Amino acid sequence: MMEVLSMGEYGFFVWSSFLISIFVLLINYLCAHREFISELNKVKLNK
Amino acid sequence: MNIYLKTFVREIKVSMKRWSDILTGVIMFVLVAIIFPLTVGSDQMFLIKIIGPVMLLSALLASLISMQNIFKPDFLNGSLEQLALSHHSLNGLILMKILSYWATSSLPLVVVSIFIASTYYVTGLSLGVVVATVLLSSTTLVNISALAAALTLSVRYPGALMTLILFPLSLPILIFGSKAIEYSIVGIDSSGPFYFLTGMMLLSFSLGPIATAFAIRISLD
Amino acid sequence: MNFKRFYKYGSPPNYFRLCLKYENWFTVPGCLLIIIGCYGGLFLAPPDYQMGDAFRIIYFHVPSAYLSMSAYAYMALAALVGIVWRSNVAFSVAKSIAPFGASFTFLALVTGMLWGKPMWGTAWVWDARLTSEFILLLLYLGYILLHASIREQKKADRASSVLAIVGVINLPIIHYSVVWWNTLHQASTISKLSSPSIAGEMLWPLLVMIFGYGLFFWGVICRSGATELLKREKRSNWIKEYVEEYQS
Repeated sequence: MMEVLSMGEYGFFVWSSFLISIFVLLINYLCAHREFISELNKVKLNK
Repeated sequence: MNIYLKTFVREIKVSMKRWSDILTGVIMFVLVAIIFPLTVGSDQMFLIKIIGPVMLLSALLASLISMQNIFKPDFLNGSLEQLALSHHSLNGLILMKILSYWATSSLPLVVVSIFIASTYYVTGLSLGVVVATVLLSSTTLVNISALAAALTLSVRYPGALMTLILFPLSLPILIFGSKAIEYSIVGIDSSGPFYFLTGMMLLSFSLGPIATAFAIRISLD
Repeated sequence: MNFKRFYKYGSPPNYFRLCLKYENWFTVPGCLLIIIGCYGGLFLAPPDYQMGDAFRIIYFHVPSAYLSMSAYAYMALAALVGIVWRSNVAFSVAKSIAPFGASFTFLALVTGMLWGKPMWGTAWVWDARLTSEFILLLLYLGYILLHASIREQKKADRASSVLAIVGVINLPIIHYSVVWWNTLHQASTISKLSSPSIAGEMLWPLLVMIFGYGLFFWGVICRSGATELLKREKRSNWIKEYVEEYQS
């Protein structure tokens, strides 16, 4: 377990790049989804 | 053929009337070039090393200051619209405008760069190389600035947007121009960067006016 | 092959429905491939001889860099289609690609910095490839800001499309920068014509990640392009019909 977490003393760099990549991908998807819902709601309200 | 010559002469005359704008560009060039010896230190070794980048950076910032003068006054008083509506090719007319802008804003810079370079302890053949580099790179910079000015014509206060458009596109020019000056000062043959600069000049003169004319038509209607 | 049946997707209602119908077909496989690639890259692949375990950052760095360049190419293509055919659909696709492409470029730069710090001791060096990737980020930002600062939408579309098309010249510079100059960044390991210079069990997670990122990107663009089209065509009838359908 410690060996996986430390990744041969480069653990900080590998895991932080993993986390930031997953984070950015998630944010992209969530932002796209949220904007679509809000636009749809705006159209519904204006009707 | 006659109309293009007339446009060129007219633009030169108009720029001569607005000589304060040309002077502003030259002053900006001189001020930026002076900052480095005054603030960082006037050690000869250091100044000789940075003369290349400083020349090109000053040329870039000077073109940033005077960029709006290519199209904005004509756009505001309606003559740009008349040019677009005439039956002559807008590409050719814009090319003449760009050439006259180059003649009035960059040629003074070339003259001033001789003096600035000699205060940076550059002598002999390298001085000629500095002049040639500023001359060549200013041709491409002028085309890119014209494109950036045409794209931001309909924006009221473009400000940093012009920088954001100008900077990425002119980075290769800056890099290769500095390399040319650096090589000649160190003593290596500097023809490689010069070939690149000439190539960029030809590319920008052939495609630049077309893109700029298209951007002007977009901003006009 | 009858290409004419694709023409109908140039019109906003058909494109909108197409995007929303097939969006999950892109996102879900993309996510699955990314998960598989992460597992294969982080746990299954053996550590590299020279770089040790730090080479695993390749599984995040290469797909995002590749995607940042191809996203710009798609944006420029959509911009060209929009200018030539005056198509609202194409302009909305181009506008929606820009922020996501910029985020992938940012990701490529950050993972590259995280890789460079342990490997070469420095997070950033001004060599050709890193500088041109940074210029790509500036081009994306320039597109977004130019579009945002012009008030009339048609003018904004067309002006920023000109910028996108002119910036395509940066893409060959990025791609061939490791061939033309002696840079700190290493040369490419995967090429179309020759066999890759990387071991098989390290290669497959990389390919899986690249495909996964690409599919996920297209899924997100489907959703985001549909949103942009919705914003532009708020007042038209087909939107009202769609909302009624959606509500019921």
